[in-house]
Amino acid sequence: MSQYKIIFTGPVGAGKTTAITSLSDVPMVKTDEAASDMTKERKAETTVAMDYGIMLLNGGEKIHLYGTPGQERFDFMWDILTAGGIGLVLLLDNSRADPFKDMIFFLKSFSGFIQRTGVAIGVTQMDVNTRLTIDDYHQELQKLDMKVPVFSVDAREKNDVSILVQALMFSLDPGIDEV
Amino acid sequence: MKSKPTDLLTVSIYGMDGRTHKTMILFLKGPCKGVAQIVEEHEADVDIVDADAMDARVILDHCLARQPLRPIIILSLEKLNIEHTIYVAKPVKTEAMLAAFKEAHDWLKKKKEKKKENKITTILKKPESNIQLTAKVEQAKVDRIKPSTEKQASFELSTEKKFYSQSLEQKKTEKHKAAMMINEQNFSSFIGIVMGIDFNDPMQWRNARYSPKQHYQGYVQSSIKVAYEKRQVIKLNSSWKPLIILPHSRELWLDSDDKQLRAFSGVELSSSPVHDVKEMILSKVNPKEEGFATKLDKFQDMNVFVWKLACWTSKGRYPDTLDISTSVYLNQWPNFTRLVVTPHAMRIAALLIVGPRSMLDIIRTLKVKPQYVFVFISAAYAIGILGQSKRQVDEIIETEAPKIKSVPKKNLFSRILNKLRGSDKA
Repeated sequence: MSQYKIIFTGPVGAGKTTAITSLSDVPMVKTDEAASDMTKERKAETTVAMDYGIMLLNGGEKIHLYGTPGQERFDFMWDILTAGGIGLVLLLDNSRADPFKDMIFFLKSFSGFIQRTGVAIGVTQMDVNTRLTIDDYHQELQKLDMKVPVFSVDAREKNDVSILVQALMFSLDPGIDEV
Repeated sequence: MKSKPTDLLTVSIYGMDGRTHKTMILFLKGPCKGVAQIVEEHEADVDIVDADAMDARVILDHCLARQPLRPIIILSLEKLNIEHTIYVAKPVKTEAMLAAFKEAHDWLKKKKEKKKENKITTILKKPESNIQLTAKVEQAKVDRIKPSTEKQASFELSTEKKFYSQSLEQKKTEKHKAAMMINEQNFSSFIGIVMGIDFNDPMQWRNARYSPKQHYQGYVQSSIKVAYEKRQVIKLNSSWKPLIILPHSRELWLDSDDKQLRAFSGVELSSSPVHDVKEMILSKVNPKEEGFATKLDKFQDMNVFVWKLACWTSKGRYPDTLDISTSVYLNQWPNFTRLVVTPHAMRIAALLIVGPRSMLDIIRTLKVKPQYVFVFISAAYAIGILGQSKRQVDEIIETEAPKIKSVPKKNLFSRILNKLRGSDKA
């Protein structure tokens, strides 16, 4: 049976872990725990620092939800993560010093994957910092010639994360049937 | 204690949270094939600093002040050219990191050789007692620069730590309220019904129009325009409740609930004997005197308010200023997590983002009821993200309106949607 992934990325604190927890049907696996079972050596050397959850579909199929680790510092793991991915969810923190810089960085870093699939952007902490609006993000995206979904998101709200992923699905194929 | 291999670099890392620290360990062990190992600060040959960390400046100053100076590798999003440092661009690639380690290694090697030469010279010059004294002084220097583990921990925490206080903004509960999903079953009860139009008859679709100007919606939209032009907080007084428009924060303030608003939005004001349009008056507002700021839960986001107002005024019709058979374009995705999401709204948005299409074409392509298309068009048009194509280029695009490609994973996407919408109880 094929296994598919949705990748959650974004800077530290943007809500990736919370968003995956909102959607996952199983308790989210912090790979710290999983890895510690694999070896009795020093824990710090064996843990895989990423978030992982599963959405169970009818018929037993699984959608794997992965959160990218280590924010912007490494890219070797991103390639491994995105293999078999069906789309990217980019979460941005509106209260960070320069959210546009974050956005451009992640869009560029995942540009190949985005071209093959699609991206939906969720902006968190909109109620903490109102300096930038969703329209501002769209204006910035226009400079990159991108028209992608950008929504205000509270990662703790399942509904918000769900709508974001739904928009990702529709942007991949507007012809999907709604039931 | 095992001795380290000659070529193994020992590194100390700064400005990284716990998770990144672990990833770095894996990165060094895996892709970097173990050429470097993370150790405590006092044992390290090389420092690695995340220049985008909150305390980066302080950390870097600390590393640069160290005597004797050791190689400092800086990881940064922006190109940095700092003396005595080796720059590695983010996202960090294995090759770039290995090159930086090589540079650091060469740097250390040269320094060692130089030290050796100096030592030989000194031995030739100094008596034995002085050599011991020099060694002691060197050791004292190392002890002085050895930082406490607590200090390093504070660097790590600074990137993760956040303080949240419930600001005034967070108390504006209505403004940040989550989206309301309307499905086909509750569309009529939520949006309303228009009498006299049979939507099952395509011949009648052209008559399914309404005039926003003759409704409260039109007055609200004009008032918002005035507020933006004058850059002034203004109040729209009507026979109903006063609406305060705050253009700077893109907010509205209305002391009413959605039920009342829905009822009032459906009234055609020009023909209403109860609501006199002459009573629609704009006035300037002094926010300090009005006292509305105390009722924070009555603030609403401007677009969210206008969107739902248009939905309730439209009741499944389209604005009379648009033509049903001419293409419309969508500038951007609506902020669906905060709006009333009418049936098939996301599909319609996704389709229009690809290129302009007429309302008739959308109905045919997506095979959805016209009311769902019209209500979406009305709402998106009201908040200014949708317009009718006038340019020749749009007409060209219209004739070439892309057919929806059959995506191989269509079935999978549908099942994911079902799951997200709660109809799949897997």
